[in-house]
Amino acid sequence: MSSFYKKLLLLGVVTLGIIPVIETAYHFYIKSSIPTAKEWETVKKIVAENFAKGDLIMIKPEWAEEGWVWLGQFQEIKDRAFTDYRLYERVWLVYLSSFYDISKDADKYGTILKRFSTKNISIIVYKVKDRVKPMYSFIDHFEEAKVYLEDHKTGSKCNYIANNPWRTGISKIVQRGGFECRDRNNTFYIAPVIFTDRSNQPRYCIHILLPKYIKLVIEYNNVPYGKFVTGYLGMHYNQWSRGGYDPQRPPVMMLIETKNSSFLFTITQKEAWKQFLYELKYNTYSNLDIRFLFFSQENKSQESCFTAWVTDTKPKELINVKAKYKE
Amino acid sequence: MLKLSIKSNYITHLLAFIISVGYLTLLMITEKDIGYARDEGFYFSAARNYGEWFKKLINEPKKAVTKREVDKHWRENHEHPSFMKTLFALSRIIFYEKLKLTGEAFSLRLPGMIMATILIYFVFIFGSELGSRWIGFLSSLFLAFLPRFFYHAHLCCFDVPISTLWFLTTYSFLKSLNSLKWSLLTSILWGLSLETKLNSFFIPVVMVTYYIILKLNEIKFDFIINNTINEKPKEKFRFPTAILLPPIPVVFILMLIVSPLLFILLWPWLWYDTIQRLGGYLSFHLHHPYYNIEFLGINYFTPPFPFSYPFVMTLFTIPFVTMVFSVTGIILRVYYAIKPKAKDPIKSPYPKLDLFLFLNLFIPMLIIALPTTPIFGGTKHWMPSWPYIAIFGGIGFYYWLNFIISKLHIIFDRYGIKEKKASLLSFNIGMILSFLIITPSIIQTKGSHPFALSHYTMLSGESPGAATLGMNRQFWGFTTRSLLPWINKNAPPNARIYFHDTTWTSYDMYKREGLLRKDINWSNTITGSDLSMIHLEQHFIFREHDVWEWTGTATPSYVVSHQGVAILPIYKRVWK
Repeated sequence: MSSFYKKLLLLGVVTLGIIPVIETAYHFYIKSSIPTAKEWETVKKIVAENFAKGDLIMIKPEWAEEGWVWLGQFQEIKDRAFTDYRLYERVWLVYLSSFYDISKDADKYGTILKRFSTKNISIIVYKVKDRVKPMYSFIDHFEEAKVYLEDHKTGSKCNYIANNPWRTGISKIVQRGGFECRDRNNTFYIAPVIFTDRSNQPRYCIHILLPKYIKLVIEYNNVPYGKFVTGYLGMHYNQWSRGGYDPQRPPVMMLIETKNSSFLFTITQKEAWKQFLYELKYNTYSNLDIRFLFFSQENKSQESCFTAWVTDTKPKELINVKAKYKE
Repeated sequence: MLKLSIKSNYITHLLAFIISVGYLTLLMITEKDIGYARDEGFYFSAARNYGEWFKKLINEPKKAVTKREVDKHWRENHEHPSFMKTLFALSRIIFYEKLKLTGEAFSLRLPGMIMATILIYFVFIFGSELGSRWIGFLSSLFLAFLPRFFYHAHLCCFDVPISTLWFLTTYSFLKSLNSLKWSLLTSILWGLSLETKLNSFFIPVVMVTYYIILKLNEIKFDFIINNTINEKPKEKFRFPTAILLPPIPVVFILMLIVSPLLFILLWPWLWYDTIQRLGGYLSFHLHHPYYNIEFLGINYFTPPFPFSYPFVMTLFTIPFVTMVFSVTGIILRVYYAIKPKAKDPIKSPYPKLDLFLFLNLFIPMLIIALPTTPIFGGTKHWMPSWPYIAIFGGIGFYYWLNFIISKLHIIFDRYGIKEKKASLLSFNIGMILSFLIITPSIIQTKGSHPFALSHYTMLSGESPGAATLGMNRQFWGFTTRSLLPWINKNAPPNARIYFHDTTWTSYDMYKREGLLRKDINWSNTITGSDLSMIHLEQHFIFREHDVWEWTGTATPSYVVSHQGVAILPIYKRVWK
């Protein structure tokens, strides 16, 4: 055996002896990198001392859900299922130092205001850049809307039911007040819900159910004027399709109509949460009536979700979250 | 040099016995920590039902064997054969009902634990037969301390038993080629395998492939030209007109006769309408529904499933050190196979041993790797290959140890250390190195308990790394057990709880075993519950959002985590 192979052999033999040491050390490194309850308690105190109403907390990685036992009290459900972080004044990024690559988020949310850290948890408080300030939120005024169905022959109005004890819609649990609609086969509810989009994220939005051959209309009157209507359309996580992607299903479409202009927006099966921007054509500062029409290919039922607001500030970037799926 | 012990003598059996009994003790001590898995719930119920039939068989044998009684008791869970469920039932009657030695769940799980122990025992024996007890010793430990094997070894399920029977059947087959006694035993063992789980249908694939390759030299292709046999054809290529095969071994003939008979005899469900029910059994598995599995961030619901699944999962769930020694063993066996003149310290007592090991290692994995095979069961469906991963690990360790000891002997000679003392020193060094090598596996197994289905090893970055990569966090709803102390302490009186992926039979068993408060009620749906738990898997994520909606809060009251990775949050309803 040549001296090179002898050295190689020796290296292999030594490596085999070192591997168990490395594996054992790695296991204990992982173990010591996981925050304890006491550490989370410390983080809770830090947040309590510095938190302000209107702040958003994110815990990363997402699997560190245990943290919400301590930090959940600072957020409402709709904050956990937030629409767009730019709606908040400040973002608190709470992350496990050893398990989250912060470099990808370093400048994402804005300028850094504060930093805190414990042994295994780091906190960065950002002042959000490009903040979006809604003048009128459609989801907050949903009760005031008119909701009705359109099919081939007739239209039918949906009735608002406030203070529902609970209702089970076709696939969602609906507890907030919402509109009860009836088509030929089903009774279902159009209401603000926690929707699971196709990237598996929770979203607080108005659940759009489109049974076959049905178009859904949500109409608002006397909406305060702003330069833009912006918001999101979401594609529903479909548990029985491959990776949340069902190529057989057509896109969902939304047509926004005002007195003398309209805007068509589409979300496909490959998208999860997609922002739209509709520039209003009016040049007067009067209030406006606005109609959202949701539809899809007629012979396919669909599930989507939407939220929108009127604003004077144009978002610098339109967010489009892609679906998690396998081609 | 190391003293070799080729044959399995009484010391080998004694050592195998000590290790396997030690393992059984460990399983028994840790059993109470592991929650009842979905499938266990079905087998608990079936075993109770079958047990009633066995009591009837003793008291009223004529009545018990009538179609009415057979159907009444054996219809339940007839999509799976009965061997293990029979053992579960008998264990329950003996240890729980008659002797009152154990709890009910423990008695139902005991046969599975014993099957795991038998496997550890025979892996030690087989490994020792390959050249040294060191191989048997390390192989059995490598297997025993695979985190997911340790988990499955506790269960009232079929995955460990079929792995044991696969191993025993093929091991017996290896010995059967020149022995009528072993041939008969092989056919009985395959009959029991058939009676345990469907994987058994693939055992003959290993055997026949092995036998054909073993006897390849005896297979002759004859070309009949001008009525003259064995004359070489004049054309460059011509299809053979006859193939002369080696004699079919007795074992195959016995497997065609004894095994099916045993299969039917031991399964009362097949005593009536045999063809129809057999067809129903096969049809159920041939048309098995596709469930889903999360793999590298994608949830697969329908085929094609990724070919890499069993291989990546093996790399991610087996302790790295086991994997490295197994690969070392494989590489060196290939090396010695292609370099027959090299001095191989392993002298196999079996012909084409490496082929036999490779087939057993890869065929179970390749079956799952096929894009159309359902892969909902995580790693357990190719568990029959795990003993062979462990044996290659033992072989790899032996080569490594042998090299080190041979170099040390040169040093011993230089310093004039006598042979007896040198041998003792070598043995002690062997023990120290064995301890060094097996330590990470023991630590991984301890660290994984009782959440081994949520546990991943070093190559994936352990469980946090795997969660970031988007690997499945659990299945079977078994983690509920770890939430029970919190529920018992915090749930309001008569609380209705949504147990999500946990079956009613498992919930019922928690109550029977006194692990769950008696006043706790089962809620079939999220709506109507006071507390709701969610077994976190990607395809269930929308359920957690439904729970937020129902409970009126996104703040879990408590979260069961493994290595910081959330696996089971519970929410208390606050919505007024």
